[in-house]
Amino acid sequence: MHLSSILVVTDPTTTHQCARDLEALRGVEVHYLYPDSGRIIAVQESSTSKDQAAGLLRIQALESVRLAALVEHRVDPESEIEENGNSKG
Amino acid sequence: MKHELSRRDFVKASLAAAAAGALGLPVPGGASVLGPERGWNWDKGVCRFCGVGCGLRIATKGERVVAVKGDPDSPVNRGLLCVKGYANAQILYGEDRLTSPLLRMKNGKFDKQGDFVEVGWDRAFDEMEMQFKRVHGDLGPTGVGIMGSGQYTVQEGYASVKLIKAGWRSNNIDPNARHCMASAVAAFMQVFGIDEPAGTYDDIELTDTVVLWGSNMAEMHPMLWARIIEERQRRAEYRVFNLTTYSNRSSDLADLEIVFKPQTDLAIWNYLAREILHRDAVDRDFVERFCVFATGPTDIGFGMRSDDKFAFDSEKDTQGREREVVLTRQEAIAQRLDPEKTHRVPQKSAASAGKHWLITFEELKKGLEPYTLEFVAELSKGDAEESIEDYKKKLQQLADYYADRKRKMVSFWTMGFNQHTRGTWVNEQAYMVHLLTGKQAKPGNGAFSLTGQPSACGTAREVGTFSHRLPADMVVGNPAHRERAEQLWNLPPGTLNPVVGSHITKMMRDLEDGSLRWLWVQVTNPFQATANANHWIHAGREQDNFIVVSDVYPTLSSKVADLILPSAMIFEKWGAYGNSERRTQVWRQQVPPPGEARSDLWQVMEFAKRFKLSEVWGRQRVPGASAQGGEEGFLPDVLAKAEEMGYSKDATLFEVLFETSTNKAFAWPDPVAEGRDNCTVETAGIEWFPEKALFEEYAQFGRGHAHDLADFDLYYKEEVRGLRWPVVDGKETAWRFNEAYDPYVKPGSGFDFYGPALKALPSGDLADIREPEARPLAGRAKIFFRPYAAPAERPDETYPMWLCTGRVLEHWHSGTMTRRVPALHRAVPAALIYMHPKDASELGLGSNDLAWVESRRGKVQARVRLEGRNRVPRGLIFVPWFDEGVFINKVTLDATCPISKQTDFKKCAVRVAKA
Repeated sequence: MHLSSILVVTDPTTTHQCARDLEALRGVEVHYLYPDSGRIIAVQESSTSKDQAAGLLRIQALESVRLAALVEHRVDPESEIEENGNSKG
Repeated sequence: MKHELSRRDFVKASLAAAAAGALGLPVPGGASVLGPERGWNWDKGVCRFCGVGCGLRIATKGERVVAVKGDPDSPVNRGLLCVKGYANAQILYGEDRLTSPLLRMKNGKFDKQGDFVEVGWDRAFDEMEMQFKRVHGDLGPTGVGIMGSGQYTVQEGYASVKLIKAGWRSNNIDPNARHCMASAVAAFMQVFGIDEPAGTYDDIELTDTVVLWGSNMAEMHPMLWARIIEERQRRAEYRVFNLTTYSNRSSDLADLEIVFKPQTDLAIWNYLAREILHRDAVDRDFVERFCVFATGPTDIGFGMRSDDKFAFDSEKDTQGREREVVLTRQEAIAQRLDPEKTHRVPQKSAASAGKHWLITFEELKKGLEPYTLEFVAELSKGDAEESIEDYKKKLQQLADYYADRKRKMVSFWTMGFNQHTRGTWVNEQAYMVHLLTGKQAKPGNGAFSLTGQPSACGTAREVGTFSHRLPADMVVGNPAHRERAEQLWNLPPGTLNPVVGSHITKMMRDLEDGSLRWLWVQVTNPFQATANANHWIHAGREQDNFIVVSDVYPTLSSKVADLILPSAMIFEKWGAYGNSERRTQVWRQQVPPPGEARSDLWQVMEFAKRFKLSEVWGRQRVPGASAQGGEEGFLPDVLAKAEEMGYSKDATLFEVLFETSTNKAFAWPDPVAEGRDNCTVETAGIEWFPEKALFEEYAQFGRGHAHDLADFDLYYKEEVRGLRWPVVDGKETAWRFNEAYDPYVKPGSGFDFYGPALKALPSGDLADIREPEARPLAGRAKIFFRPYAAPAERPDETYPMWLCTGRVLEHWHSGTMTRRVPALHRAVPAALIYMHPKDASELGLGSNDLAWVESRRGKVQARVRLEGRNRVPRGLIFVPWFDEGVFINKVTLDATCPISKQTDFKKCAVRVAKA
């Protein structure tokens, strides 16, 4: 399982709308909202790393989003995953 | 299952809390804390991609990268990464990594028309050596070349420069960075006498106003853009301007967008300078104490071939402008000529395009006088649907900001300026306005050139992997510079070749005309990246030459190659990069390279073992060498001098250039390794640390010469996140030329433009030199007057549209790496033709229709896009160049800035038709 923490920046007046837009995306959870500065911390989950970058681009493409930036991308340490034909754990 | 879900929820909560903490955001109700992961090793690193130089933290487990995060302690990106951050790990694991040398063979022998066959390294090097010696024997040092990269590590670039210039005595090495920022370099050298920006990224927070010129920072430098967004949201008075030839993502946040016609940025700068003079906004004290005025010839051509022997019939008219230009009416006005007359101008100064002389302030004023608001607005308005009055108001508003003495201004640019047939001029014009207003080399004030590649500055420029350069801004044409390099490299006097080699586009032309027949391509994809590509693909595949490509994945260039060598990449080796703000950053090897892939440094050193001094340091034929005072057409035999220095004629270039007694003293393992491996050491079977030895050897060139790097070990200290040179007494330098920050500035001077390349100059008027006696500049920067000049090719009845090329966020350069990251590939699978809906409608095209884009040089098919993030004005299309399947460089024009030799990928004339 692949997880990313993501910073989203929106106009402060649209913070809550942006959070709803994010929650509507599959695999995305909003964890923290900072309406004063228009900041949101979200976590994205996907079964492969292949979908992580696409997910960030999808977030960036939302109307309400000024910036979506990756903070950390990791493999869930207790997951056994298969990627590009190579196993790891 | 319940346990699994709750554990995963806990991991997510921890990740979110860690992210908030890393970004300095409060965590309501306290944080969940995830303990250290079992068996994970975290280390610092730097992003493999653009020139911003984002700091990373990389986690490995066993022999695999398992996590990447933005380094919260990095002063560059402050814990954030753009989408390319994911690629730093994924890119190591693409299914088609090259893991074995591949040689074109038939019946067990090399054959240029053969298929690729896996061979061992010895067989690969045997063929490479045999082909080198055949060509070298026929043509001498000018018959061989290396195409290098702004993605070389510092040590790789240094080793390649040393091998080709000191070993093979050829100056035919040039990086893809020539396509990226050569115009910036040329302007730095002409204006300041020393390369690279005065300012730093800190200017983003310290300024009041950011102006983007030909720089879609939102997509190309997203983490700098993140810092601008932060300031824009925090400070009501902060302003962002976007000057561009089409609306893009950077326009979305900008307070003001100015869409101008291609090439007319030259006129807009002169309008701004004229306004500054007319409004008495010149910082007279700054200008009088620290600046002089200069200009140069205007009849300098467009960097194309001087004859049309190899031109297709269809390109001969454009080619003809290299010899003679008929000025447009607007050019005539801009150059103070009678617009009612026809002006045929032979391009007599093409070979001396960089020549310049001093002028007076009055001459500058005279030169700027034609650039009125009315003239420039009429010339430059890029969007036919915008009213001229609205456009004029925008230009005036821009002038208001630059002329406001109280306002701090930073102008950023990238390829829109640099990829320009007058790229050096337009860079110089930015300095003109910033110097006139005293808004240069001060916190929050400055004209700032950004680079596109991770070490275009640190390696290509600072190490000097260019055909005219040596390390630390020195040049091969200067006898004193050659002498210093020969001393530092312990070479016999006269070893270095004084004749400037071929720049990267000329190397392609040399392949075509047969004057270069052995080529080693390192860390780049030039057969996709060079304009007017039909010529070069044919030359590479069909003519008598031998092309080696070292790379990590198959590329279009590897398809052209005769031999492919598999390389190690980024965290599979040790390295250092230097970013756009002079920050040198390092990393350790984290994981081993796959299969038989080897570091580029190993490849260079290992191949150097194939050459004895007697084969390369004898008398060598080099056309043009006579001009430098030696035997006509030859480099001298330096073998006798070499023997006097203690070298044997049978010594190899590996022994003489790399495995020196000094370098062998840097023992491996070294404490900075902290137990990590070094694939270069292991495969070379050596007991010394080449990355450290070569870094320290290279650093000698710059120390004491305003390019000081710190000791190698200092960069590896855990608390250090790169250092901005010059690093003097362990302290980095923020704003250069400013006494408050720069230790090289003369005490008491305030500002000192001390660049050593600022030589004494003759004086004259706008037309020519009138007083040949040279006057010293005494630490003053040059304010250049440069006129508007029309581009090499403009839309006409047959080819009625402008073509502009560039990058997109998801794909970096030729897409070699990013296209292997499936998510990025899926997001943008193919290059599109971004087009105005009305233009499309007139051509019977709808969104997603297949269309031809055709120029005088070639044509490609791609799908039309009428909406989305790139919104082009009527009469212009944008096509990105990452896609090998939409090979847009078959269409582009190989015209360059005649001073910098950087190609203009931003403008040529095309027609579009339904496929």
